[in-house]
Amino acid sequence: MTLRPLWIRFRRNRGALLGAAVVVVFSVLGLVAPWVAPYDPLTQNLAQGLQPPSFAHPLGTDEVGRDILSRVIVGSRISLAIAFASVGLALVVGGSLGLLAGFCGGRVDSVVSRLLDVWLALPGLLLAIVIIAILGVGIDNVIISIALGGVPPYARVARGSTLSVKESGFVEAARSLGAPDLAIILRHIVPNILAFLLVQATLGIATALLTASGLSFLGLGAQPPTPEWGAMLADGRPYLISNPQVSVFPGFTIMLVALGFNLFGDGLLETVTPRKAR
Amino acid sequence: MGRYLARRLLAIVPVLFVLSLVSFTLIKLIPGDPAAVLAGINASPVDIGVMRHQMGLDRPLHVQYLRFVERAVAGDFGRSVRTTRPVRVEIAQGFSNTFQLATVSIVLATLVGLSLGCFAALRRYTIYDTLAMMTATLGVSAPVFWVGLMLIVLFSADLRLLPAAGNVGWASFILPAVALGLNSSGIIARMTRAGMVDTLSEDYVRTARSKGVTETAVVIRHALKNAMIPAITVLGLQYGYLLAGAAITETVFAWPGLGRLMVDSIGYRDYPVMQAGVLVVGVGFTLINLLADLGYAVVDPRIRYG
Repeated sequence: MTLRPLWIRFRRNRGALLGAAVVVVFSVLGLVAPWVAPYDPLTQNLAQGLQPPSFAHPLGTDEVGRDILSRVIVGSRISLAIAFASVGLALVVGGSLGLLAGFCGGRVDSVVSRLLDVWLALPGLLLAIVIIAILGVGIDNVIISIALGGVPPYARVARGSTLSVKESGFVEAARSLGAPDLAIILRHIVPNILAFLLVQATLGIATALLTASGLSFLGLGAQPPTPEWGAMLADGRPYLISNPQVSVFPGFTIMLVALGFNLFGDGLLETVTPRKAR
Repeated sequence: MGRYLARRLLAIVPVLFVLSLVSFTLIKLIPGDPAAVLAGINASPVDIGVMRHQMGLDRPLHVQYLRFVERAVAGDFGRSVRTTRPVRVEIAQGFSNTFQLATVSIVLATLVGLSLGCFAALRRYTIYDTLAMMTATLGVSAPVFWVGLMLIVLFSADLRLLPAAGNVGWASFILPAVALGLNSSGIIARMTRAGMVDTLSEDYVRTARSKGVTETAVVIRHALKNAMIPAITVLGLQYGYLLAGAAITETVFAWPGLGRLMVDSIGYRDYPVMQAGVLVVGVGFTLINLLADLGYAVVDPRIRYG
């Protein structure tokens, strides 16, 4: 599929464009964060603690005097890194499983489908909590636990797409020409299932972000003094009424970024889904 | 219908088996010695050895597993390390509280979601549709703990309207249920709109309209029933998710539920509670999904013969 007609279709969706803008802004922010943040996110300045938003500190300061804007900016690097890593991992594992199941069919398919059923028996957050109970707290384990919890959707999408691609003519043609299985997989199936997998991944990043910040909020993820958005929210709880800025701004940022990825993902989905007549 | 039920029941057997395995091995995998934990801080190595024998930890693994299953089926999961009360009492209490909250949330979420979705579908492709779906997406994107905290600041602290913690009377349901239900209502709204838009363009709806049936009747009697089919599956998933994932909401609102129990038990190394919790939540979730599937089959006869 050439890209230009897809882009034309995509940009008709205003929400998706907004989402794309948010995605780009925060991704770039995450990359250049250390150079853009006005203050060091870790430097404490107790005399300047719990300041409301001002010219010097546009988002105020937290309980030990750290600049909230800087922490939010650097936090984007951490939170997005976690989200991208866990989704990437889940995509690769789930996509491979689903492709395997769809391509081989028969007993392999049954086994993998059973496995997925069992996998889905424990809801995402609980699974993540259980895995963290085993592995311990911290960012690395958050990535692993979110990735493991998030595998089934990618497996299902991959399996479904693979099955429908298998039915299509060119796979049969390639086979009858004597193409080996691996070549068929790499040259025909993967490019065609990639689109849906990427859409699922984009939406998955929003979910991963929410889960990761939730885990950090519970104290199971990023540990202090790491400026992860969820952890920052938890830090601000005791000062919620007197100095809400400590919790409000990181939380709002989480919502903004999740919204961006959701809108972007929805737009992508609409673009790659074959349209029925309205 | 009976055959479909039998097939589905058969399908969950391996799931239940694996759940029991997971629950059993959970304690084995967590760093730390359960016998040492239960024996207490001042226990000597001899005491720990005695505790180990008492707990049956010196028996071969498969024997331990069978005893675990035996006791689990009888409802005996030992005593909580933290409160020394029987684990099943803790779990039952937590489950009851979470169940109440989840039920209220799902009812709220369904009402809001269905209304919003129908509203958007009836005015599809207009600005109202876009606004409604934006709201739904916002609901899906907002972090539960942040929404919860904002609600507390607004309604409990500033306006002094609603309680912020614990399970004390019907008013204390409101804020947590809203926070918890926000996510689900967004999802339900989107699904409802999608289902309704599909259904409203079907021929039988056009027939009903051209017969002179009022728009309201068309929506309620014809379109809604059929559009709700995928919504039922989503409902089941959401209900199960709420039962399990209410951990965060419960922590924010100090709600004495199962989710918070699980999270706390990690910090306290309360292995028996964790073990039982995983099993209970897993089984509950599986059963709810089963019910949702059956509900789907009741509503859509095509499923039963697939």
